[in-house]
Order: sequence, then C-alpha cells, then structure tokens
Amino acid sequence: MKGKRISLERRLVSYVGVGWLLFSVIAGAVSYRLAYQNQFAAEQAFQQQLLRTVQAQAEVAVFARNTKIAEDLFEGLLTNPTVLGARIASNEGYVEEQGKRPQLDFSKAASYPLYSPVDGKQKIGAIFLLQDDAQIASLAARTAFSLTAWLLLQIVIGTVLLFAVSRAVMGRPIAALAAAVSAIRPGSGQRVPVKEMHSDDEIGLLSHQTNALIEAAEAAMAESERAKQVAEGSNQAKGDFLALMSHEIRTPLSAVIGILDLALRDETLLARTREQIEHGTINARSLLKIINDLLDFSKIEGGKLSLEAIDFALVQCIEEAADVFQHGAARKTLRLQVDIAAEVPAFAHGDPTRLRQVLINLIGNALKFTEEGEVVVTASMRELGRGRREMEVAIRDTGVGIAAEALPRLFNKFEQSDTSMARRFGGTGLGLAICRQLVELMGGRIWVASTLGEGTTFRFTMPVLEGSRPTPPVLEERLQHSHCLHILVAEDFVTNQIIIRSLLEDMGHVVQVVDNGFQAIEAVAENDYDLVLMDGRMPEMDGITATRIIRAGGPSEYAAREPGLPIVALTANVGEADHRRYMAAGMNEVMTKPVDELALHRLLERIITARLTLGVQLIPQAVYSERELDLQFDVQASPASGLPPTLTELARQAFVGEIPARQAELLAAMGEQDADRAGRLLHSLRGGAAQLGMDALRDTCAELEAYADAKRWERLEAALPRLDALLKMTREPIRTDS
Amino acid sequence: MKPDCLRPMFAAWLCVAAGVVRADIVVITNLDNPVQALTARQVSDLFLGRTRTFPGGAGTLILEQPRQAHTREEFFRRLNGMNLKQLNAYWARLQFSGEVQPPAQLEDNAAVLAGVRKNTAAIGYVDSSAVDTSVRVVLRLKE
Repeated sequence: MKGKRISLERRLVSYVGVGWLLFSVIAGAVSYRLAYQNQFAAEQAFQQQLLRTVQAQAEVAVFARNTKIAEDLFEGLLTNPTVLGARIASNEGYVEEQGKRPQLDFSKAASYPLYSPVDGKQKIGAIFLLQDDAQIASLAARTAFSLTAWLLLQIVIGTVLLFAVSRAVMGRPIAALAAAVSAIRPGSGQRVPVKEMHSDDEIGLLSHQTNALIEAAEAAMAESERAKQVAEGSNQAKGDFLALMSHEIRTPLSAVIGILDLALRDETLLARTREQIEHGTINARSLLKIINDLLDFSKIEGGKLSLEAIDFALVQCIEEAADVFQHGAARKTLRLQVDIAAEVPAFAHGDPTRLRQVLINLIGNALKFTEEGEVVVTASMRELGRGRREMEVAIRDTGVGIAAEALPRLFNKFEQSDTSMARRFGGTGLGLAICRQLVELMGGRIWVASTLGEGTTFRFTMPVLEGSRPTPPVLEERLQHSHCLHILVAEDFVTNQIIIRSLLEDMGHVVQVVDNGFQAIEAVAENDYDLVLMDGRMPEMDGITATRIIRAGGPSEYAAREPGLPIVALTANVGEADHRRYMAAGMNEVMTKPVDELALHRLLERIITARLTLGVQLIPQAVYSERELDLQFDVQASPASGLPPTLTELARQAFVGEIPARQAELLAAMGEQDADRAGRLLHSLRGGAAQLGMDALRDTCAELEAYADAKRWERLEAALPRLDALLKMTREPIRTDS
Repeated sequence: MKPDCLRPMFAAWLCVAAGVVRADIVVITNLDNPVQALTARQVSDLFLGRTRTFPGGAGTLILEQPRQAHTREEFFRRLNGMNLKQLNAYWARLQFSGEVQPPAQLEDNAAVLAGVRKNTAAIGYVDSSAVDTSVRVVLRLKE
C-alpha cells in the first residue's frame, strides 16, 4: 500500500488528462467537420445569393447583348476569392466570359438560368459560375481549424479551472482527512479534526462518520476486551467453582467416611448396626468415587493429569482390582474370574493407581450390567517387536449387552448406551470417557465388542515396561509418639473437627480447635503451639491469609508468639496450583483430606523430632501395649470390627437384607397378576436360597415359581404363608449369631 | 370581399369605360421608310434596345413618349406586357453599367408625330386618335 500509493490528486490529473485528450480528439474532429461543412454550405449559399443579386443584371446583359454590363458583372463576381470564373451565354449564341485563369472549363461550373426581362418565364440564357473548390476547402478548413482551436482552448481552460477548484474544494480536504485518519491510533482517543468550513458538507460528514466509526471500533475493542476478561474470568470461575465444589462436597463426605470409620471402631456395636454403618461407608465411598471421577475428568480435560512412573506389582494390581468386586459379585450370584497369563510380568513400571482405576471402572461396569452368568478378566501379553511389549486386558461379561449403534458413542463423555440405562443403573457417564483418556494417556487403546442380550467385552492395551520389585513399604511400626504435642486445629467443619480431634487425641496429643483463620491468629498470640493444622478454606479468614499474617508476626494486637511455628495445610484441595499456593503462603507441608492416619502419624513424628531439635520442651507420653497400639492405628485389624466376614456370610447378609423388598415386590406383582414378574422374583429367590444351601426355601420357591408361571394365583396366595415363615427363619440365625 | 374594397376598383373600371384608354395605340414610321409593317416582337426589341436596325438594315431613331405618360404605360403593356416599373428598372441597368442611352423622350403624341414625319429612320407610337396619314402605321396595338 505504502510504496504504490497514488494520491487522489495525481489520479485526478491522469484521468482528467487522458479524458481531456480523448475528448479533445473527438470534439476536435467533430467540430472541425461541422465547421467545415458549415463553411462550405455558407460559401455555396453565398454564391447563390451572389448570383441572385447579379441575375437581373446578367439577364439585361444577355437580353440587350451588352458586353459592358457583362464585364461589369464579371468584375464584381471575380472579386470574390472563391469564384474562379464566370460566363454568360444567351440561347441565341451570345457568349461573354471572364476568369482568373485562362482556359477555364465551364462544363463543371454551376449554372443558373437567365430569364427575359420582358417575359419572366422565358429562358434566354444562362450564367455559369466556376468555383474554386480548393479555395473554398482551404477557407472552410481555416475557419474550422480556428473554431476547433478555440473550442480546445476553452476545454483546456475549463479543465484547468475545474481541476484547480476540485483540488481546492475536495482533493486537499480529502488528503488532509486521509492524513488525519492514518495518524490515528485506535484506542488512543484521537479524533479527526473537523474544520469549520466543512462542518456542513460531505467532508465534514465523512470526518464525523469516521470519528463515529473510530468510536464504534474503540467501543467494540473495549467490549471485546471486556468480554475476553469476562470469559477468562468465567473460565477461572469455572475452575474455582470446581475446586470449591470438590472441596465443599468432599469435606463433608470425608467427614462422613471418617465418622463412620470411627463408629466402626466401637466394639460394642450390634451386628446389624455394624452392617448398616458398613453400608453407609460403602455408599459414601462410591459417592466419593463419583466426585473423584468428575474431578479426574476435569483434570484430564484441562491437561492437568500426569502419570506416575513407579515400579509396581502388575499382576497383584489386577488381582486386587478384581478382588474389590468379589463381594459384590457374590451378592449378585455372579462368578468373577481372573485369568492372568504367565507371560504377564509380575512387576512393571508405570502408574498403578491409574491402571487400577481403569480396571475398577471396567469390572464395575461389567458387574453392574450383568444379572446372570459371569465376568471374566483376562490379561495377556503381546510382542510389538523391537523389545516392546504390550498387555491386553479383556473384561468379558454375560450381561445385557450394548446396542451396536450406541457403541461408537460409548467412550464419549456424559454418554451411556442409552438414557434408560442411566435410569436403571445410574452413573455419571464419565467412567468410560475417563478410562479412554487414561488408557490413551498410558499409550494404549481401548475398544469394545458387544452383542445385545449376550454380553459385552471391553479390551484395552497398555505398553508394559518391565519393572523391578518395588521396595516394599517399610512396615513402619507405628510406635506411640514419644512426646505430647500441643496442636492447634483451625477447621470450620464440625465433623472434621471431631475426626481430627479424636485422631490426634488418640495419638496422645493436646488439641485445641478453632473455627477460622482469624481465631487461629488469636490463638497463636495467646498460647504456645507446636503445630498448627490449618484448613485451606474457612469463613472469615482462610488458612492462607492466616498463615501469611502469622509468618509476618501477626497483627500488633495479636502478635504471634512464634511466627515460625510449623503450619501444615489440611485441605481437600489437592491441585498442584493449590499446593504451590499453600507453600508460597509459608506453610511447611500440605496434607490432604480425608486424613490418612499413617501420614498424620508420620507428620507428628517429624514435628516432634523438629521441635526437640529446636530445644522445645515437650511432655513425654506414657507407653502403651502393642495391642493397644493396634487398636489405635489399625482399624481393619482391630478386634472391634470383628473377623472379616466370609464371602458366603456376606452373600447371606446381602440376601437377607434384600428379603423385605423382595417380599413387597412379590405381593405387588401378585396384586397386578404379573406372572412374569412374580416368576422372576421367585426364581431369583430360589437361586439365592440354593447358593446359600437353604434347601427348604429353595424348594418352596420352585413350587411357587411354577404356580406363578401357570398363573394359578389362588394356589400362590395359599402357599404364601409358608414362604413367609421360611424367609423369617433365614433371618433368625443371623440375629442369634451376633 | 367587403363592398368598401370594391369601390376603387369600380372607379377604375368607370374610367376605362369612359373611353379615355379605349383608343388603340399605333406604331408609326416615316412614309419614306420602306418597312411596311412590324411585329410586336420587332417593335419590342427596338424599343428595348435589343436591335438598332429595321429589318433590312436601316438604322433607327427611337422616339419615346414621356416617362410617366399614360400612353407609354399602355403601349408597353400591350406590346410585351412590361409595366413602367420593370421598364424603368431595365433601362436603369442598361444605362448605368451598359453605358447605353435610353431613347429620346418627346413631350406628347403630337411631338412624336412630328418627329416621325421629319426623320426617315424614326419610329414612335401615339394614340390612334392622334395619328394621321402623314405617317405610316406599321403596327396597331388594340386593347
């Protein structure tokens, strides 16, 4: 644009110049021709007139044969420059002629008749006039030329005037406007100046419009900048919201789990109560899993998930993942079989947590959608060449299957095979999407094959790098802490307060709990503490702010007694960014919720060592017996939770638990005379009874099932009391057990 | 036509009817002139200067009536149809650039008669009422 720019003025000059040239040529030609024709016609008309004036004289000359008159007449005619010669001739043979040159040829001359002066109708002769065509032409040309030249001169003058005027009136203001516009930088607030004289004309309008445009553009820029900020803000808000929600949900949930775990420690619990609490725990954990799924997914989506690369026991990992579901499978009377090929290395290098997550997801799915039959997990190895190997894991079930058209969408987020599935089986629809993301992150593939009504097989591969046996976790003897710490817990959530307080007190420490950061500041100003466990999010003042203030020495009225005392974040925010923020605020460590007892134990151990090193006086703790230690730190091993129930016992418990609902459903089916539903119910009851060795119940169920299939409702009703009695009996022994 | 307009025409007609112009006009020559008769054309050519001789070659002397005389007007009207205006214009051209003298003009019929009687080459015209045997009538112009 810059180098090649042609100013309006120059363009105007060139256009006008070329136009002028063209116009002049045409106008000149036309004007010349017109002038020439005019001149020629005028000359001829003049000759005519000339002749008319001499006609009478010529007539007299011929009539009277008077040479004198003729000569006089010729003299007059020949003064005219265009007349070459003239001649008069009478019919009687009288001829007179005169010319500017000798030997004139009058055959081409124009002739006009002469009439008798006596009788106007009688022709007596003729007058011949020889015109000098060349002379006429040159005369016409001269005239035409001068006319044309004058015309062109007019055009030139007009053009120059017009150009000068248009330049003054338009070119200059436009050039000035262009210069002003190009000098404006958007957003600088500059405007095109509008001169007084242009205030009402097009230039003024153009300037105003340009200014309006600039204003609109600036407004749009500002708007888009604002929108961008809003969008960034909303993205930030989304992230924050997610973090907040995860915190808000996980905090109470981990509290629930913690409380339930604490409750299970109570040795005096009734078996039923224990069972109920365990159910509660299972449900709470599955809720936690869903939330973790959501968080995982958002982390994967945000590209924030990174894989671990550690040595781990591969075969054990698969087996353990399956083991998680053994109970559930048994409850549904499903067989869950694990078949791991010999080539699968016992130890691998990778991310066991994520592998377990995928396995648990897929096996859980398989069990969820399978009512009868089995779920088989197989793992095999394949050589990829160049020393690389991959493991292929297949999870095959004999469940409901998935419609072919639903298969391609299956690994999309928030998709289930169909919406009715979601109603029937629940779930977030994120599980498979997460599986795919994780598998792909690990460098593998995941796919599915299914036949509706026959079952589904999920397969996934992952490259396997052979690992070494992981250094077995040092089975730390969770010794009783040697000293008693004075600990401040800042935590707003009452349940968490209870959990953390009981954990810490069980470990023999002195605990003071405050509700928020502000109270924490007050507390560290008033008392000596060996440790502050600080929640991240709290009302009034969050942990980060409180930590910063304490590290800075505290406010003047609440000067911290020991600004450098250990402060450990205790938070449900597990993001790396959060971790950094906590550390940046001056915290010594970050612990995640739900609180891992072992980690907490180790933390306190470290704090005790550190405090002693600093020379802080700590009160030594009394020594407990080993059994008491077990009681304190190992919930699973504690006698209070009883012996781990066998699978059969678990199945029986599940069966018994289901009975009231089954009974109600049976009655409903009978009321609606739904033979199919009643038959199915009795069939599953019979299956359960057979599994558990309750033969009498099994037989009765078979009998009733036959009645239902035959729609013999009266017989079914008659047999119902017998079934009730048997079902009651199944419940009895369990009660007596506890 | 309106009756008012007819009035002058009627007056002119009355004049004619009174016999003022009714008389013939005769072209006369000397009795010694051998020419016995002339055509109107011949007379016209002589009186307009086209010919200067009688048929036979004898020279002529043209004797005219006064310029505005009624007889003259009648003579040319009957001879060749020219009116006085045309006649005067013709002679003016011929006289001006042709250096030709128009015929001599005499006072009246009697002068013309006397002129013809006196000169052998003379030719003139008079009202028929004025003519006598002392001259030869070569052409009679009737109404």
